[in-house]
Amino acid sequence: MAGVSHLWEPDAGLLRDIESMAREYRRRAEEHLKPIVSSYYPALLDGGGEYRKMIELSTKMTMVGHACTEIGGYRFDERRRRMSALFGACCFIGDSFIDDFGDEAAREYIERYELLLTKGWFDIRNDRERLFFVILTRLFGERDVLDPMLRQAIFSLFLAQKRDVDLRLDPGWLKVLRRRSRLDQLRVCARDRSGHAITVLSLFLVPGFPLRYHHLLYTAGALIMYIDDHGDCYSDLYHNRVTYMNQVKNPSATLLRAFARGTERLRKGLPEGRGREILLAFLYRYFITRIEKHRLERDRGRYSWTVYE
Amino acid sequence: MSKKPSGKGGGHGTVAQRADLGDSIAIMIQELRSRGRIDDSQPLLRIDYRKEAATAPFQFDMANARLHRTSCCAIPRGSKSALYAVWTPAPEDMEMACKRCRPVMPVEAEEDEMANGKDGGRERELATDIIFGFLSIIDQFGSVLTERGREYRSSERGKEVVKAFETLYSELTKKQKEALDITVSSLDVLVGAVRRYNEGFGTNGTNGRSAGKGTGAHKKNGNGRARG
Repeated sequence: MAGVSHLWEPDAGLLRDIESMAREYRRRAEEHLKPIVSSYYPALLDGGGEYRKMIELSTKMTMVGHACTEIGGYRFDERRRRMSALFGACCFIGDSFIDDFGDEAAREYIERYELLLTKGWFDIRNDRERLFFVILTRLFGERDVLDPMLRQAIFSLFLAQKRDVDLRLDPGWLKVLRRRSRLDQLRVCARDRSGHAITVLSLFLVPGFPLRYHHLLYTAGALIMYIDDHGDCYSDLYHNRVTYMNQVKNPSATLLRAFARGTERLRKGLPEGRGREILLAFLYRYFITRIEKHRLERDRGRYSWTVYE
Repeated sequence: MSKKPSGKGGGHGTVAQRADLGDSIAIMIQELRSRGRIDDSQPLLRIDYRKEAATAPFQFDMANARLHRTSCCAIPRGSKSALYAVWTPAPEDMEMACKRCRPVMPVEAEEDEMANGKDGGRERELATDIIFGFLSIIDQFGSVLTERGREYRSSERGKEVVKAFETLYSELTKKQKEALDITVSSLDVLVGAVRRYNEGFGTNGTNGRSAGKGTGAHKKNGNGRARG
């Protein structure tokens, strides 16, 4: 990809640290999640790689969670590792209801999850839903979920998910917009999904996380989503899933600009220290691996290539 | 319950046992609701904060790092979905203040706090919220609690607990006994009040209930301190 060589990149020592941290957090995520999965939804363990993908997302959340905790001025202890792993698993299973069981299931999940967040009621109908509910309950049990900022983050994340599902299931209104407005809608939708997600994670890990750093994490979250969508570009197109990154004219250049601008903001705005280093190194590594995923998937179409690293 | 945890969840020891117990209780409450045993017209837990957020004095735009007054017309349309209500910004947050609406630190709120003796007003409100929370649980889960109480009282475990309480009570000092008696009679008064209230309305208790206030509506932004 042209231009990558001019980007800031972490030194070799920091990249090695990130690699070993990822290995360690993958092991820890499994330690926390496997017993819960075994108890409530053992079929997931032999579900053709789905469990492994869940562990990968939890590992990713643990890495980001580590960075957020240190940026917030706290030590990333065992309890915070557990919360990060639970959050990753919760996102993974929640997303599976939206992505893997058809349009009707996605619509129904949104309705039921809205009831859960507005009234606290959730009808548990099968083992997957039971696992989701238990993981959510354990995560909510870790903190005061009625804290105003955390409540807003959780509900805003839901609204962003709902908007994403609406765009997918009813793309008609999007088509009538002018190209510029359409791209804006898609960009904001991607930004909010991951922006609110990282806000939820940081508030679980550090209640009272300083407002002056929240918007920088939001930027990091948005960047993660753009990188992710670029990696999934071909598989999304195959499944008729419209995203900002598969609609812009020159996705590679757009991503490169967003990455350069975003990481520059983070470098200037976040407090100097280990948290900032971890976050930037993680983003760099994520960016490089997803560019490779994009390249590999170019010829594979619907066959998504899962990045296990 | 349709499924019991194996007890392996989360490793060994009390943390895992507590987690399993928490899972069981949470699942059981949902199952009771599915079987129509709990009045689900009332919320069990409301995360949705939109109603309270609309009344906050400030809104923080996460996408553009701007703190606005809630009524500010300079909030970009694309930021509406990235706004967070803020009640009490920190002095350093004012660096991100919108140049158009110029939000300022809420001086009046500070004066009120001083007049109430630091957080006195807020603490009283919190105590009232806790009492209402307690009443709502008795109200919502009343029939289940009564039934469980009867079963428990006649069970072996229940009888053991009663004996243990009797022993414990006999060992209390006069002052401690008085304090406990006051607490128990207060509980009696509360339960009686809820029962009379429901009987007065002659329904299963959905009419005219206080919806209560959103918990923490006037809390500081965040908890301010990390636990753990």
